[in-house]
Amino acid sequence: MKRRISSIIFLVLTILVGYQTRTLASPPRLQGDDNTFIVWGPSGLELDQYIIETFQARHPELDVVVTDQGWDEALRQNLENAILMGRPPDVVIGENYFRTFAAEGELLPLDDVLAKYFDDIIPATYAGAVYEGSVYALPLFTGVFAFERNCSVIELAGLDCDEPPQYWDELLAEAAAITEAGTGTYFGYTLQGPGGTAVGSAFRIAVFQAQLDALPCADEACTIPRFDNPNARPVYELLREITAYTPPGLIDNTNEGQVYEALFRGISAYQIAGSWHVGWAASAGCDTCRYSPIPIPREGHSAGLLVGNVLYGAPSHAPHPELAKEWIELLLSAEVQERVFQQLGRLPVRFSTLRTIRETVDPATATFIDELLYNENLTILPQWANNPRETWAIYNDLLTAVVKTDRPIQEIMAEAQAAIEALE
Amino acid sequence: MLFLKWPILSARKLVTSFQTRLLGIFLLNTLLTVTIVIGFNQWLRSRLLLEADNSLLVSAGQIADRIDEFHRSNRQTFNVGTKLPDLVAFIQANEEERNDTEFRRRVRNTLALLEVEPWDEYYILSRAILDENGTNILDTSPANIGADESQQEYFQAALLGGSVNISPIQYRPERGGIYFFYSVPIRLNDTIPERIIGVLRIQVAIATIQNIVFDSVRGQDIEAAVFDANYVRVVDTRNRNLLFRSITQYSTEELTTLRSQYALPPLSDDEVSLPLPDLVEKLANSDKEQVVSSYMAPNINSEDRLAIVKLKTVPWYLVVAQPASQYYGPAQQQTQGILLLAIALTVISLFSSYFVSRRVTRPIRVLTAAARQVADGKLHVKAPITSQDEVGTLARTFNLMTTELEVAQATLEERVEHRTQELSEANQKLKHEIAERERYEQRALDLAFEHERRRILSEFIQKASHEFRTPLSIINVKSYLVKRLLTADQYHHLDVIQEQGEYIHGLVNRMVLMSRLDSGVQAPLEYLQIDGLMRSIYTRKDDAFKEANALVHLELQAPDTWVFADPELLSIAVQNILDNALKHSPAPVEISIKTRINGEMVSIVVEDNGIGIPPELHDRVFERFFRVDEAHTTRGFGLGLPIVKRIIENTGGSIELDSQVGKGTTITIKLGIKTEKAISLDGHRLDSLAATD
Repeated sequence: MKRRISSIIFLVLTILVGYQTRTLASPPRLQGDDNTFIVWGPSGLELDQYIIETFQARHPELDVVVTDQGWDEALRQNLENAILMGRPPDVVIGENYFRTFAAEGELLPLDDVLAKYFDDIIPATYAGAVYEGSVYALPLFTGVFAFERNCSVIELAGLDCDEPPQYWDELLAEAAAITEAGTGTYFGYTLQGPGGTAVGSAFRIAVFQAQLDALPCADEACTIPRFDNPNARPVYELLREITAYTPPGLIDNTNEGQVYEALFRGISAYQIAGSWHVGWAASAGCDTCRYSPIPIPREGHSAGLLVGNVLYGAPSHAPHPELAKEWIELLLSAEVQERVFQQLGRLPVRFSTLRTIRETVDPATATFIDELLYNENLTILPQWANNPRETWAIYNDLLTAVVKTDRPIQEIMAEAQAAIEALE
Repeated sequence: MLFLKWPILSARKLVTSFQTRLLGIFLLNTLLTVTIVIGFNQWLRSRLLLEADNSLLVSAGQIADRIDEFHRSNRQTFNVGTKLPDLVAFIQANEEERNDTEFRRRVRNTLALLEVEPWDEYYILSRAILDENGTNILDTSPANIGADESQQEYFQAALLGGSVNISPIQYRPERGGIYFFYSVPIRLNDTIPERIIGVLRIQVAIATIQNIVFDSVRGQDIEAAVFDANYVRVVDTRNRNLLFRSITQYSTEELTTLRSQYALPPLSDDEVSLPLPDLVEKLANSDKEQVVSSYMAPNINSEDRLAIVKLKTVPWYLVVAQPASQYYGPAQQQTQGILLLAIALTVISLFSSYFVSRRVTRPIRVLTAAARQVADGKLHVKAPITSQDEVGTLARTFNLMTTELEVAQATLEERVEHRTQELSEANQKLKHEIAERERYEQRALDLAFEHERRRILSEFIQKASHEFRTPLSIINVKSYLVKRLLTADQYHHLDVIQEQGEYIHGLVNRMVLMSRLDSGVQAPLEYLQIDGLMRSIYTRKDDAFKEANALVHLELQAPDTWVFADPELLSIAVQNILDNALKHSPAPVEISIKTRINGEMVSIVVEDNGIGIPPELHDRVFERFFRVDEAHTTRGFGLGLPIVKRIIENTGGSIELDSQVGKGTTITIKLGIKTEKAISLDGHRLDSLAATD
């Protein structure tokens, strides 16, 4: 009840502020007429085609062009370039940069769209796109982390796959045992190495931090970095220890697909997996992949971190703002949400849809859906308000130092904090 | 004019003061040092700037190398990729075969693997296979499949050029934003290299290049920008708002052409250019001069220092910029440091030289002040001795001088007083001497006068005596002759006359003698043995003694004692004394004649038992014509003792009188003894002298 009241107040505020912000948007600097409706996002899949065709059918006068501009930092940079070029896309996909662009006035507020689905959308799925009371992006689908294991590897090491580790110490013990048994052919755990400004590694590590309420943030909204949080130290110690049980080379591999396919190929036993891993594992031929809650520290608690939480926003300087809103509203429609799991293997963001499909999915998927429906500690990756690129780079340097050096962790954390303070 | 004179004098005094000159020397030294420091700074500054230029150029070269390496690696990778059988097979496959899902998926995955580590695959917007007609037959961005790309520059370049091509940057929002293409010809096989059956086209977002540059400058104090062939800024690590604006001004025709090639962003004519003609010129001339200064953005106040490198793989310019504040920072810091040092040196030198010069000249000033006080008469003033050097020595000497001056002044009065007294005494003495001298002169004058008088008198007496003596002699002779003819009575009378005549004769003789003594004319002196002389006189007076029935004692105690005198006069003197003794001594007359030696003197003492002389007359008895017997009961002329005295004095001796009335008189003559040596020196022989006895 309390959560509902808070949501209503939040909605009212976002609508009020959103209208005010919209009036400040400057006119597009487009050269000449533009009937091309540009969407940055995937276009090759069935759902993508459905959305494009549906929207095109509604607006036959438009030439709807959907291009893949990548993900993460590349996407952010491409969007920034497009805005500077003078012709941003009408709709843009994304996950973790919307708050930054919203702060710069480069995105349209979508409070009116959200208002129509407010009660039925998982709040955490658009929390990262809220800036000063307005929402600037809305989700198409989401995901959550769970613990993935390859029973063939575990059993090869002589362990019982039916009882996955529930605590960190159990995970470490089993990873050590499996690595020892593997003698170089298979290993206990897959740890994605940090690198550059990418956040793939930080995502999964954030799950562990959330279990100890030790996300690297100085504020509740997690927009201000704090890298010397002493509560995070056990997480870094865990990472340093478990690095020894990771297949050689994976930590240095920035190709996320190659890293996590190692488990499907029987090279690794355990890893943290997004909800899309279920379909991925199946397509990769991993019949022995199974899922369970992520092990927690004995002094911590269970925590869910949204991942693969794909949102869509509308650049404020794009030539078709109202059409952009219509596109985004289409994504939240029941017909699209219902197709999300069916056609993409991803999880919808509407409670109603999740409940509907919960009855039909496999136990593995149900594990992830339950996380979304019932975990009260759902959170998202930090959304840095300032200098996100540089901040992630510093954070990745911290993680790199943790997993690749023997330097005192406290010293590494202090060094990162000094770097972030210098950046500010 | 006085108001002008004072400052001129003060300035002159200031200039000529030792302290000012010392200060000037210090300042000159400081100026010299500062000049050297500034010169060194200039040299160092030029070196620093040269190093900064080199560093900037090295950084630019490294970033350019990274971009070039990126292109080279991609070209190589994609070139190798075109040799993959799947790609060739896909091009050669017919429509039905290409629509085979598995075949398409496999080829698509093959395309997806074509990337260069560690570049994130998502910077590659799309990978496509174009057939030899330029038709897109497979694309990782499905929307492009089927598109005719035959007229695109990248396709033509690959097909016709036969090698890997990197296209110009294109600005096409509907096709992926800002990107460039790698286009690689796909050959049937290596045996027929000229047989190109298609083109592999890789669309890469410009963000890729931006990422390379951002990563390269991260953590460095430099900024970087990349300009494409049309001078459009595609990377700028400092100011993203300048991105995708050209720095050159295009003509309308150029704009039309470039836009048709998608070589410019879709901005209005006004927005597409932010002209920086100087920078364009510098880019164009970068082959000649790589490190330059120019503005990297319009409407800014300061130039940047730029290192320009033209990329080898594409016609782009990489510019590494350092703000003037940073570029010149070390040099300015150094200059500021040197300047501060120079100022500090100058200030320190000013103060130190002032204080040192004051300190150095202080003893001199103190000495000067002391000297001035000394000049004012304050001789007690002392200069402090503050060192052992020359100045200390000077002060010490000064103090010694003032001490001596003080002592001199202190004794001066005493000396003056003493001297005055001496002078006074000398004056008195002089006066006395003058008086004495006057007295002497008067006396000498008197003596001379007396002498003259005596001489005249003597001369008169001599002449008179001579005149008297002759008639008296005649009278006496005639009387004698007459007496023998006369009767007894007549004889008696005549005898009286003769006696009186002889008396007068004797008087005249004495007067003549006296006169001769007064005239100073005397016979040559001789050495006389005094006892012998006394015996001779005793013998000659023996008759007279007997006649007077006198008892004469001869006590001679000066044997071998010689005197230098006139024997005749000395004999007269002793005989006169004896005559007086005989004459004034009542019977029985007793006379003692003695000689004694007293040191260098020999005394001749004649004692009698006569009537004596009253003490008040002792001095007068030697006056001429004075007679103790005023009644003239005894015969005499009053010349006996004066003659004695005269003779003795002329001989160099002295005469003393001791007499008591009624008891007798003692007269002592003292004469200087002549030794044998003296006599020898005088060339006399004692034997001959002795023979004179």
